[in-house]
Amino acid sequence: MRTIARSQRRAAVALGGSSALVYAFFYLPVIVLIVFSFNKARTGGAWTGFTTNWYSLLAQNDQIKTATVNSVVVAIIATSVATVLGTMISLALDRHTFRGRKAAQQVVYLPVIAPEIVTGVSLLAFFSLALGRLNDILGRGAEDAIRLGRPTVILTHIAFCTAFVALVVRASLRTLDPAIEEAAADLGAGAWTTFRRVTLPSIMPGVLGGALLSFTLSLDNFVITFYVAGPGATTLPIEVYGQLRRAISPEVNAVSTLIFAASSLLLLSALGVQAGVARRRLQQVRPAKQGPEPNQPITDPNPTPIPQRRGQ
Amino acid sequence: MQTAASQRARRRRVAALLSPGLGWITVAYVVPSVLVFIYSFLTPKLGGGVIWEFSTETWQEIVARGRRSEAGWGTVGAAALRGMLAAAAAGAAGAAIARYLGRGGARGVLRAAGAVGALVGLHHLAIAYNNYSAVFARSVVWSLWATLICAALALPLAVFISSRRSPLARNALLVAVMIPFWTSMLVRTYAIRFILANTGPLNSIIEGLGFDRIAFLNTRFSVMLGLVYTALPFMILPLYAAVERSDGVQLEAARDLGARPPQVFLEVFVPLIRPGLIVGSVMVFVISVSQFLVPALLGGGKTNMIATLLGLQFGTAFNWPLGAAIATLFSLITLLSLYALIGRKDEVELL
Repeated sequence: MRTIARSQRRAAVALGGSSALVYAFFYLPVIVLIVFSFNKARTGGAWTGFTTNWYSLLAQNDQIKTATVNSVVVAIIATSVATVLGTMISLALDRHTFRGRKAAQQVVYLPVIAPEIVTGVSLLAFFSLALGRLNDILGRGAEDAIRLGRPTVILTHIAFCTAFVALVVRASLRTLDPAIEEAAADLGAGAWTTFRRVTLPSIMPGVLGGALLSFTLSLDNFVITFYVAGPGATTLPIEVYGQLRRAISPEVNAVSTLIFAASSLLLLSALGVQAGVARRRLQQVRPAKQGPEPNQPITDPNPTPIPQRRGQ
Repeated sequence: MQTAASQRARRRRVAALLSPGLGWITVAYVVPSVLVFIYSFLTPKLGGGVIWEFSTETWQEIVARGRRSEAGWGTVGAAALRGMLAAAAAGAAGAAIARYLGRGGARGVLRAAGAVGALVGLHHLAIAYNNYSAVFARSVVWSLWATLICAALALPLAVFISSRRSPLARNALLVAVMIPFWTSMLVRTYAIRFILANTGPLNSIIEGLGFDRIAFLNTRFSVMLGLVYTALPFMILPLYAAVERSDGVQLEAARDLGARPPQVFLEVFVPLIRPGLIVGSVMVFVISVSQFLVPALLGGGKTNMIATLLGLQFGTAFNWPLGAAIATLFSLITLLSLYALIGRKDEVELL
């Protein structure tokens, strides 16, 4: 008996130790990066003293500022459009049966599974062909031709953000009993009223989660954007990539720190919104039960918004 | 009973809901892939773009003309030999495990040995044949290694998280996995580059200890590290979901019936978490095989993986038809590796 207890304890220690190492592996590089964004020395890997100088230099860097503004504008527009379109798709897929529904589902999965580099170069080929034809039709010459730029970036981001929103919202539509909507319809509510007063409030955590996911995806996207942006519409990741290819500088560390902080904040607020709204809803629907199951992870009411994230 | 009119209205509503979003996704994802396939049969234009003249030049280049001079029947023989040796080694190891577990399973062992042998043989052949096949083979094999390493690192972590009793601790540990998962790939890849750089923090520690600086960057080590670092969360989350769903009672029962720990692990635990393992592996593989930033920032930007080779053709090399052909082949690889997943519905649900 004693030996079993001891071997179990040993196994638990090994498990905890290896997990701690994996967490260290995740966070050590980022922490080192953050620490060194406050380092005085311009070059070298030795700590020479604390400074916030690189952050103030960043505030004066016009290229970074322009790129940041561009990224935020793209993300806001793409997210607003994608949230509406994605919610519409998820409603059609989840609340209706129709011919070709399977095929429609597979098309929605395409942006999730397609390698980003393939999407990027394919869209580059597509846009240059389409814009070429458009310029021919409009009779525009070399000087006033419509080229790759912010509009093509926004259109591209709308495409993949819509797919991700649709998947996240669908996950929360699945947890909503259609009988509630039918009851509203039976009581005389029209389709629009049912949606606005019954469906939308119930799937709100999913919609918000999808919107936040889409905002982050748009802000972070590098590979696809790199090919469809053209020279005029540099976004923040493209600007940072260009700078860090040239030289490793503390300024890049500073901007990376800010990007990391912004992404973490977005994630935490997405999780917070979903957990908070889901808890309130559970209490409203099932007052007999005391809040959410205590041993469910906080994302459980709307599973899977996160694992859909694609690599670059 | 629905009337014909209400059915028509319903159909109209579905069309109105679907068509804007789905239409645009189709235009942005399906149409360009068809276009890229067509481009691979056109003539390259200097400075980017294509000339609309039919040509099979690109595919001839990839399939036949790009062949290395030393590649010949000798290469095929060497590849076959290596494949057979690898199959024999894998078969011996498999037989030893099967014997330890005390069951037959000869067919499974044979199949696994055959797969390993075929993989090793094909890899050798592809590396020796020409530059294109070498890049594809290298990307696939590196991604397979990254998948294995990720599984080995993620499994203890998934078990550890799900063994926490307090939901608060479990959620905190999960969020700690999601944060790197959620932050920009660019920043995370750059963090590795910064630390490993010749004048970076790691090397200044090494120097401080009185050793010579080590060139970590632009090596296989740095690329593999980057692949594992960026893809690991994609393995942890599905594995955690699977571990969480698996039933601890079965493990206990197996232990009580006298199964040895490796036996419990291989015969009870692994089958229980198989769906999560498959989903995680496919995700890690697909992400790694299409990595652009890791080889570009950690591999020195040489054409050492598919995405860098592909990006180069549309970037500075300006050979769009060649890039289009590579993109077509690459999409095929991704689809084939996802094919394994799509047939299994319960496993797709986990995604």
